[in-house]
Amino acid sequence: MSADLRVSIGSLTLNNPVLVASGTFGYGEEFAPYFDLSVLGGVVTKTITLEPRAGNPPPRIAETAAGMLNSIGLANVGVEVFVREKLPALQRYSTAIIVNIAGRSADEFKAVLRRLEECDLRIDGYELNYSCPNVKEGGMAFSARPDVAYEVTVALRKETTRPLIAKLTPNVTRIGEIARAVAEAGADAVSAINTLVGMAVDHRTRTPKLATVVGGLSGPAIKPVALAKVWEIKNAVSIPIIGVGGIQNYEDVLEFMLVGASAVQVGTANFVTPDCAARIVRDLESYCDREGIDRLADLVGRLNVEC
Amino acid sequence: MPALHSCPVVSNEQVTAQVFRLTVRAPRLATEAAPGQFVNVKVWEGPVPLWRRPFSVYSVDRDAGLVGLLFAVRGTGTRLLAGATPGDTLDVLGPLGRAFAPPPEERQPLLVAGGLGVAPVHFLAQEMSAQGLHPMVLLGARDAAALCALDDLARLPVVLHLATEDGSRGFKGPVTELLATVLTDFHHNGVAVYACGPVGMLREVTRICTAKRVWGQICLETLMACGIGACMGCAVPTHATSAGPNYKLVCKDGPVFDVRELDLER
Ligand SMILES: Cc1cc2nc3c(=O)[nH]c(=O)nc-3n(C[C@H](O)[C@H](O)[C@H](O)COP(=O)(O)OP(=O)(O)OC[C@H]3O[C@@H](n4cnc5c(N)ncnc54)[C@H](O)[C@@H]3O)c2cc1C
Ligand SMILES: Cc1cc2nc3c(=O)[nH]c(=O)nc-3n(C[C@H](O)[C@H](O)[C@H](O)COP(=O)(O)O)c2cc1C
Ligand code: FES
Repeated sequence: MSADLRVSIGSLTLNNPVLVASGTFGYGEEFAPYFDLSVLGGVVTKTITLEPRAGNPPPRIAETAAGMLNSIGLANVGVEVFVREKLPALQRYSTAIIVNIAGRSADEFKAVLRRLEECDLRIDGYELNYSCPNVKEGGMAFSARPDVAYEVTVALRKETTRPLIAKLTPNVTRIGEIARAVAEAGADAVSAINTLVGMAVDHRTRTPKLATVVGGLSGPAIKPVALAKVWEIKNAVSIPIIGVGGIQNYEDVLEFMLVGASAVQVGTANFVTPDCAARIVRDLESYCDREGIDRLADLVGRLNVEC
Repeated sequence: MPALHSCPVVSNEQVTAQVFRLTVRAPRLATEAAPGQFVNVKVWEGPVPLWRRPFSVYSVDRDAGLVGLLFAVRGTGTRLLAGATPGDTLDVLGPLGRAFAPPPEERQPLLVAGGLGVAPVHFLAQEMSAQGLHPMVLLGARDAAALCALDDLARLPVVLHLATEDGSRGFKGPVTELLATVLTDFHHNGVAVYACGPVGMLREVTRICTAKRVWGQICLETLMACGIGACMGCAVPTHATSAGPNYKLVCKDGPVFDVRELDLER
């Protein structure tokens, strides 16, 4: 008998704990040639904003040791085209569709959410990209301050009954406080982490490798940071956590679950191996069979710390 | 359809001090790939280097199910690839990107290659020759020693002109100067230009084609993380509209672009 891989994120039940991370899976269709997207626990779409965005000037990416930097700049088609052209294509897959949204202000967040609530397409939840700069707060990330994160979440909570997942930036001193604030404001779950601020320099040309000078670090290089942030959040709140950061294989998923993540997202690894997330699901199944595990969710938070 | 292929290495020969010609067995790729398309190769198991490395398809042998790449050793990834030997298996993603378009209205194809830009140009010359088109190939490099793929091009029924910047072989000067000279023999709507090489060269090709109103396509290179349109990292600027700057993705909208599509002056 096969193991039960299902996990719950608030009112949402996922077929398995493996999702793909926002901005690393396009709008989904880009990966359809490589595997059946229905095998995934969920797809988190590229961040959608009210207006389309062209993104930052190139170079926008740089390779680093076991990681990469990006300054894509939330390039996206805007909510209108997303609803008309991108979201319909995802409907035929029996995987959870999580739409990741952002805005420059609480009102802009709300406007994007409202437009999505109006459309009669299947959406299984929203991920709130709180790492984007808040114009009113002087360009600081929404989730850099607990009071701001709280306010925005309260405002969005009034607009929908669908699950709300707050995606947190690791570029703060105490991520647990932010997690507590969004949990109190009514978020159903948190995702951690978004990219870390980083920089790469070409010593020969004496120039930064990104046009924006600094960018967001992702990939295997950030996994230890992500595990530590999930652990910190686990000790601060009781809402489910979705672990993100450097996941490449099923063993990484197990580590995140033990530390306290109910589910995970595969990001940068999709670029290297387009069917990576599907392989991870298969490997988790074999792992459970091999180890005689009936319910994978039983592993969540079972880290043995008396060492 | 692009796919992941597990490809046995058939041969990996060193053709110049820095350049290797790698041949892998990949029957499906050989059947599906079109000139201008590329593959994204995982050069190493580990997370360093993390990304795959993109290479244009240099040649295909559909009957034998072989695909050839021509690559220069630039850094870590290509150094690892230079070490690939028969018996190894490479993880290859492809074919990716948009291919060259056929020449419109029976125009004379004029293929221009600078340095390693000869890779897609050789495949294009191969295909056009097989279709009975009679391409003219202008091949440029820094000096005679850096001219690659001469042997393979010489085997094709193409008219080949060489250019070296130091004049050690063929025309003395950049290949774009040779192009400008050759173009004077044609009416602007009698020729179709196809070019691949460093961005400076493609900028010049764009200028020449635009000024003379010649139909032309260029094949571009950028850094790529995914190669499949997911990361949005390989953006190149197009001509700005009233709405501000705009970008196209080299891996998905290209790597082949019409000379009018991009703004390489920026
Ligand atoms: C669509 C496409 C087709 C290509 N086709 C070929 C081909 O047929 N033959 C070939 O030899 N190369 C080709 N390239 C370039 C090739 O991908 C790079 O040379 C390679 O990725 C370098 O990897 P590396 O690990 O050796 O270098 P790295 O260690 O990553 O970098 C070393 C140096 O190489 C340069 N470099 C890195 N990536 C690129 C790049 N994408 N383009 C140009 N310079 C780069 C940088 O200046 C860097 O300083 C192509 C690139 C693209 C995007
Ligand atoms: C190229 C790129 C683009 C990204 N775009 C977004 C985005 O639009 N919205 C978002 O919330 N996170 C975005 N992220 C962050 C990822 O979703 C993820 O949180 C981060 O990369 C860490 O996971 P990883 O190490 O597995 O990649 C992006 C990451 C990368 C590498
Ligand atoms: S390389 Fe990722 S979008 Fe082009």
